Amino acid sequence: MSTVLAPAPPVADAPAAPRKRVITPYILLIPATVAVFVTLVYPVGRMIALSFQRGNLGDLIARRSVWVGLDNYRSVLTDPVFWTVLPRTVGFAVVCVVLTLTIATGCALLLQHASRWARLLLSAGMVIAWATPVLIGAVVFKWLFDAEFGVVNWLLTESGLCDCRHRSWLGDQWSAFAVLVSIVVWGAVPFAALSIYAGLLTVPPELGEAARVDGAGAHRIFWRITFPLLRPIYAILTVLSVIWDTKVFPQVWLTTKGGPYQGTVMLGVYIYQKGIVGSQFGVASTVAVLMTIMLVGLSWIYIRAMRQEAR
Amino acid sequence: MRRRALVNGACVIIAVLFVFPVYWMASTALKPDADIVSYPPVLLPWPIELGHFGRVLGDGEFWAALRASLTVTVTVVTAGTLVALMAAVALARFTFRGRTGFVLGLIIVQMIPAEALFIPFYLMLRETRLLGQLAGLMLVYLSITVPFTAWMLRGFVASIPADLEEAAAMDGASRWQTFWRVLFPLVAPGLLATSIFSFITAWTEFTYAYVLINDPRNYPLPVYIQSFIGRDDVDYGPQMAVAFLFTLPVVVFFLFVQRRAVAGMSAGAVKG
Repeated sequence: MSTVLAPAPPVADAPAAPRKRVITPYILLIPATVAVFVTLVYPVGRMIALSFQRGNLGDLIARRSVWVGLDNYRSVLTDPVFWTVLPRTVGFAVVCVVLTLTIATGCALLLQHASRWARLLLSAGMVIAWATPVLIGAVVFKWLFDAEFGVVNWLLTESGLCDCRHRSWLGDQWSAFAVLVSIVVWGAVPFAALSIYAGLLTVPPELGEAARVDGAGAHRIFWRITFPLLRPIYAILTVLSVIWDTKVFPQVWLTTKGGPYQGTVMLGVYIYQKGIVGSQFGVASTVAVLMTIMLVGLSWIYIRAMRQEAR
Repeated sequence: MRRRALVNGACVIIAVLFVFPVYWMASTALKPDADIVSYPPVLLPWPIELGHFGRVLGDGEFWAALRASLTVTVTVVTAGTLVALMAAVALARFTFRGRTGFVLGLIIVQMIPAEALFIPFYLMLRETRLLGQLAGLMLVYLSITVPFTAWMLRGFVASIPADLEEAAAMDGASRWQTFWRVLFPLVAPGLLATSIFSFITAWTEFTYAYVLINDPRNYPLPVYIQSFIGRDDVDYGPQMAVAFLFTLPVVVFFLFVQRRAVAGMSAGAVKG
């Protein structure tokens, strides 16, 4: 999903009338509670429980729970594969976030200084990329980077950058990585750029003018004036992007399936391979628990940043 | 003014880079097979060839996938919006024990990644014999959309002054009438925004659909699209045609909400 939606500007809780019968809200909340409980609270509990169980296919078919204590955690945390997948996932997210924010800042500044028509053109282009579902982005990029008939190889060869005919981008770990990064960054820049641009519009132009009169260059003005004012937006964008870029199962699965030679396996794919493919549901749940802790921790920072900005 | 020209030029180049993948999808869908697998690539789909669309539209599997996707999406949007609206009214219009806790719960459950939860969902649906069934997928999607839409709608309801309803009640309107005549019309734009969010979620979600629907007869469109990726080669023409048909409604709906989405980003944003 590549959607960002937000409610109308933050509203203070309207003081609720205390006269109303107190049973009504509970009745109104029943369906939502059921939806959230049956489909989220229970699975999360199940996932945590499974991480302490053997949970192989035999156990599952016999519907028995064999408790193994911390065995799964021990085996995950001593698994060398886990220790390549985890830093790879984190590294991937970091690269994507840095690139996304840098390019987005550039695009936002362009939007700010462009003529009206160019601004409309660029924002329209970004909205189109933003609206494209993640799954479609991945499928299309796979085609763009096709070894034989992909347009990227042709462009690179024609422009003389490399002799890239027949170059198989997904056949090599690092170039497969580059393709994945470009899918993610292409999809993520528009939202970030439009958010930063919205922030730039709130910066009073007089501040920049005054600094310019005092002899500050564009670089200095950005780092000393603009960036500090937009810090909350950058904080939120960073945390959100880290969360999104850690969850890249569709992008990886639709292009490389974790290959070549498991070289692009990231946490989501690892869980899939262990659990659904390998039927080691206990071990897979352990990895899932660790991933959840990581992402909920990050989200916590996000909520705090959001609260600060709301203030 | 030379600087302005440089900036404008950069805007044009970057806009082209953003749109190019989408253009390439559309143009591939509109080319004859010979032009798709050609080197150098044919940049313009000319003459336009509707064969791939024809093949897709003549394929029973496409229609089955479309039906599956529509069934899931319509159910999730309708049921999810209703459930979320009820919760939103409760949270915005009543004070009761556990309200803060409930709102906090709504926020927390949104943070659990799909990648972490597909194992328990897989097992749950397996045990209830819903694995491979669209009903199971609908349940999962409701669990994703309801917390967020309820939270979003709560803001919309709270922004409508309660005085209006109280005034109507004073004039002798029943609670039901107050709701339908006063609150509902005012909250309608919020309902539209949240249902578009649910629509896009249910329509485009890939991870759960791929893991939980293992029966080809029930493939929704995202899984159908990936089924073109064979072991050796991808049949890009028809795949891009399906991708085009799949993306079109999202882009259309997106145009409705993008302004609000950017403006309100500081109020809370969710993706993935």
